[in-house]
This record gives sequence, C-alpha cells and structure tokens, in this order.
Amino acid sequence: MNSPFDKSTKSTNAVNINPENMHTEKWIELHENLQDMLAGYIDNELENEQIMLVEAHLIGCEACRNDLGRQQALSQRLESIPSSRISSLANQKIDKALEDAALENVLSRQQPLWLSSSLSFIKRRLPNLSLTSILGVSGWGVAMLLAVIIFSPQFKVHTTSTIPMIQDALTEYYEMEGKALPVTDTHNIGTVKPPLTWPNTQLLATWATRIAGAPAQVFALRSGHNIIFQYQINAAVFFRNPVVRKAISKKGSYAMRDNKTDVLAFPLTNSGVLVVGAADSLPESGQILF
Amino acid sequence: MFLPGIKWTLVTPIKVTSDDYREIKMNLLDNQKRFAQLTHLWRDRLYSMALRQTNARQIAEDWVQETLLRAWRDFSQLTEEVAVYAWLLKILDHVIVDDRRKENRRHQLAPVIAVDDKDLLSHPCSALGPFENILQQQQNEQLVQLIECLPDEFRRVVLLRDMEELSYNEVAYILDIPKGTVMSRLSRGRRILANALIKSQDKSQIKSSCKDTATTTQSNDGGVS
Repeated sequence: MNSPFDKSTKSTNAVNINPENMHTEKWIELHENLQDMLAGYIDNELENEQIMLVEAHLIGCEACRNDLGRQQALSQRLESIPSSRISSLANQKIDKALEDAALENVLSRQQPLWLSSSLSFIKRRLPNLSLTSILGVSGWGVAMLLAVIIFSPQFKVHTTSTIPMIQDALTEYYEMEGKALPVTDTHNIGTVKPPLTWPNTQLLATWATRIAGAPAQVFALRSGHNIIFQYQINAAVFFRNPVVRKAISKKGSYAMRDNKTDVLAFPLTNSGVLVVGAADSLPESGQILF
Repeated sequence: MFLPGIKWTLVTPIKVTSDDYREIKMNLLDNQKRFAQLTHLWRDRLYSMALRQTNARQIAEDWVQETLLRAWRDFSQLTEEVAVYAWLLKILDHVIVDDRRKENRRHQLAPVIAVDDKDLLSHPCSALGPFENILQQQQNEQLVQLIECLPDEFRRVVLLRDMEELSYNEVAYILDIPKGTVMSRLSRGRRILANALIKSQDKSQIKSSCKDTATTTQSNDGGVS
C-alpha cells in the first residue's frame, strides 16, 4: 500500500479549502464517480491520469479522505487474517476422488479410442479450417458419394463368405437375378459345353467375367425350374484359399450356403468350377458328369 | 465399373494395440503427477477461500473436492498464461455459485453506500484513529463473519482482493467482470464493511450489524471504465 495519502496529510490539507465553495453540481458528480475509484487508488491499480484526478479531489474532500483511510486500514487488517488448513482426512478423501476420476478416464478411453482420436483430430483442425475450405471439402464429399452411387452398379453385395472367389461368384449371381442374361450366338451355343453337366440341363448363356481378379467364364444353365451358374476359373485362383484346399483334399469338393443360395466348388484337370444356385437345387455329386 | 482408389481402409477404425494403451496409461500417469504438483500447494488456499464463504467445514471441503475434480477434468484447458491459483479460484467460484444456485439463495442486489452518509460522518468511530482501534479489537472470526454478510458481488471481490491478495486483473479473470467493476465493487464492499463495523460499536453483537448491511440503499451496480 504505497498510497501517498496518510493521516498527517489529511489533517493539514483539509483546513485550507472551504468545502461549501466546492459543492457545485459538477463537483458532486465527480465526487460520486471518484468514490468508486478509491479502492483502485489504495491498491495502485489506477492509470496516471486517474491518480491525478483522485489526488486533486482528495485535497478538497474530507469525506473521501476518511473513506480512503478506513478502506486502507480495513484492507490491511483483512490481509493479516491467516488462512486455514484443510484436514488430512479431507486431503485423503480428495486424493481418492481424483484417483477414481483418473481411473475412470482410462476405462472410458479404452473402447472408443479410435472415435475420440478422430474427434480430437477434427477438433484440433476445425479452428484452422476456413468456411470456403469446409464448403469445398463437403462439396467434393457429396460429389464423390454421387459418383459412387451412379457409377458403381457392381458395388459388392454383402455375402457371408470371406473367400474372394466365392464372394465374387455370389455377387454376380445375385446381380444377374434382376437382369436379362447375355445373348449368346445360337450357332455357337450348341458347340459350347459347360465344364460340368448333369441330366436335364440346358445351357442358356455364357459370358466372360472376372473372379478374384482373374479372368473366368460363366455358364448359365437351366436345371429343371432353376437357373444355375457355373464359373470356370483358373486353378491358381481356385486353390488359393486354404479352407477350400482342405475341403477338396478331404471330400473332393467344397460346399457352402449363403442364406438361400448354395455354392459348390469342384476341381477340374487344369482349372476349377464353382456351381452357384438356389438352395437344394444343385445336383448331387453322383449325378454330375465331369 | 469400379472406382479406382476407393478402399475400405479409409473408414476402418484405428486399431488400438496394447502398446497404445500403455502409452495412454503412461500419459495419464504423467498428467496425474503434473496435476498433483501444480495443485497440491493450493489446496489449503482453496479451503480457506471456501471456508470464508460457509460456516460448515464439510461444505468447504466438498467445494474444494469438486473444484479439484473439475480442474482435473479441464486440465488440458490450463494454459501458461493463466496462474494456476487464479484458475483454481475461478473454478471454485463457479462451484460455489452453482451450489448456491441449487439452494435457491436469493440474488442480492448491489447496494451503494455513499461516503457522505450523514450518520457515518457524525459517528465518533468514523475517524481514522478510532476506526483502526475497532479493527484491531475485532477477532478474525468476527471479521470473516462480517464479510459473509456482504452481498455476493462484494463478498467475492473483497475476499479475492483483500484476503487472497490477488491483482485486479486476476479478480476480473476469476469473476469474469471488467477491471473497472472490480474496483467499484471493491470500493463499495469495503465501505459497506467499514460502515457495518462502525455501527457494530453501537450494538454488542457483530451479527446484528449484518442486518444493517442489508438495509443499505439498493441501486444498480456501476463500474468504472
């Protein structure tokens, strides 16, 4: 408290000025305004101009001088009041609560880490992004989405199999369910033979496709009331999957069901064939002519 | 037709390995350590501040605990520009305000005590010498009790400035008010306190002087810019 104003200056300054002459309207207004600045004067928190204004007023105002003195004494007295100490029991309780909060933090972070890390990434970046860049990025996002929808009619159908060649065969089979079969030259169709045949079948169409990234040939056959697809694929692709390999070495063929569709895989001399058709519509192994 | 370059890996969640967990755990332990180092020293100060705003030790302890839990939660928001104790006192202030709001305590208007209150000027204890004597005679507890009687706005400013000895800028930061308002509230708060002390000399109990503080003129709380 380095206020230049103290008890001795108060008494000497006050007597020289007649307060009656000072109590004009303007003076009263200033007096009222300065009352709110007295604390700042005591605590050295005023600007130089404000200090000059307050000091000029204090010379002629005994009430403010007294107020200033009381505020200063009060402030000093309050500062001398010692602080209390928190009990060790309460301290332990707080330690425990903080420990629990930290533990909760670890547990809550275990599951959604990828989410929280992506969110925090976005949060960190967001303030740096301008409105135009956000609009630009979101515009491209919409465009990409539309492009995917419009230009990707062959978007993968979800199947229960994880084997790529089975997935591809099933996807094409499901897609073709809602489409016209490709027209095959009627002259050629008699000469073309599917890899597997069984009684009461008729070849309807054949076309080239890609299975697991390799070229393959599809044969659509009518078998009674059902349409069955055969995919002739090269041996490297056919034997790629260990599950298929194991089943063939054990039973001579691999079979799986995807909802209401059956898939059978048979090895041929230089290739392999996948037979895809409605559940229970596929021929028994004994009926098939290799 | 497939679009080249679009792969599911784009939306695959980030895989979390056990090493990642270890790192998270280590970071948290480091954070915990840092938090403890930064805040432990201030617990007594927070408790003192809390205890000056309630008579119940249990409530003061609860406020301190809640303050430190909130501080831990918002630890990442603490920046180097802010002094730790000012940051903690700000959180404590919010905790107390929230708690009091729950109790539906009435919002007290800001009274203005003019220095030229005629009663005050004519009172024999208003002169500096006698006033200083009264101050010295008062016990700490009595003074703290008087501060407790102050309306919210004044009490918080007087506590932070005169008892915690914070700068006006720090008080302004803690209470989210302009520096000029800190000054005007402090001027008025100290004046109300001094007035209550002087008047308490007419009565035997300090407690009764609290009523006087509540009967002072009510008006808008102005600030000095």
